[in-house]
Amino acid sequence: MVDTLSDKIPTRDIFYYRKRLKNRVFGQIVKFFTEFHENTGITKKEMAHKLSKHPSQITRWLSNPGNLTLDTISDLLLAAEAELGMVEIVKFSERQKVNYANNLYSEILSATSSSRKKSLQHEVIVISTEKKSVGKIDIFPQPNNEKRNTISVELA
Amino acid sequence: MSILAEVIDRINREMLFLIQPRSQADAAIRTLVAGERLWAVLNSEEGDEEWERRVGELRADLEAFVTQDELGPKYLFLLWPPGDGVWEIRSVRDSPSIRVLGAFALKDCYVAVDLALREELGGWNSQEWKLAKRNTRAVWRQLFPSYNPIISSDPNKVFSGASNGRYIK
Repeated sequence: MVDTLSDKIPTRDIFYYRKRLKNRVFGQIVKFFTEFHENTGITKKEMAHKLSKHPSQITRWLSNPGNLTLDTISDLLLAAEAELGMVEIVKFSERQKVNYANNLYSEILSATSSSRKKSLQHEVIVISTEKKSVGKIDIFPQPNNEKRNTISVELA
Repeated sequence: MSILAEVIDRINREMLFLIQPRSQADAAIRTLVAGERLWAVLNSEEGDEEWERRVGELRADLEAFVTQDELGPKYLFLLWPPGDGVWEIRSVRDSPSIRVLGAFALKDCYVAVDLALREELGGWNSQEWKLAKRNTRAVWRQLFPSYNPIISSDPNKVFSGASNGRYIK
């Protein structure tokens, strides 16, 4: 990401974070209305009536993150006699790392990370026996244009 | 070898790639592994603004599968015929929408095999759609010759957090 305040943010990151924000807000809105409907039985038709909209408009708003604006979020919540709470702004450096993950995900991450570490050891040994000096070799290829971790190996 | 062991093996052999949330503050509720072509797109070199926008948004949409509590049928949809077990993730914009095609190796473990632009796929019964689904099945067989994907039209048997709605046409 950004190392200094003067670094330009990659365009890809800008669009990634925009969509991420939309998806997160959308997810919360949809979750709220799913529970709202289960608890009250109020339909999209009734909500649409309150907002002087066609029911299809409510469906459209709740079907795609890209269809929500701050105005439509306000209108939808108002129809449910609700509003958005205060938004918390968090710096990347202050985000708390989560200490849990889906078991399957954890197992895959653990198994593939340890396998790559073993692979690295193997590469070092092979290079050593070939009695050749090498420059830098890449380890743990990183996605998203992040710097590759490299080591220099000199052989006897 | 179990299907989980095979997934791990394919990741170690760089035939599949684990999509990890970029934010350490996001818990991984589910698992998504990407095939080579999709991974190549996600890590492609910088292109024009339109390309950067599509790739950035696609990455965010794929991470939504991993991190979001609920997934609706507008996001994740079972393609016809259900007996093939091919599900699509919709990365939707005004235009063009991207469809990621794949199947579930295990509950909450989606193998994203391929992707296509919606505008290139035509109508539901088009030849292009049939080819896309056939290709997905073919790549699956190459990856996992001994295993079929999960076959079920009940989303709750395939992934957690399915919201109400129709997940199949």
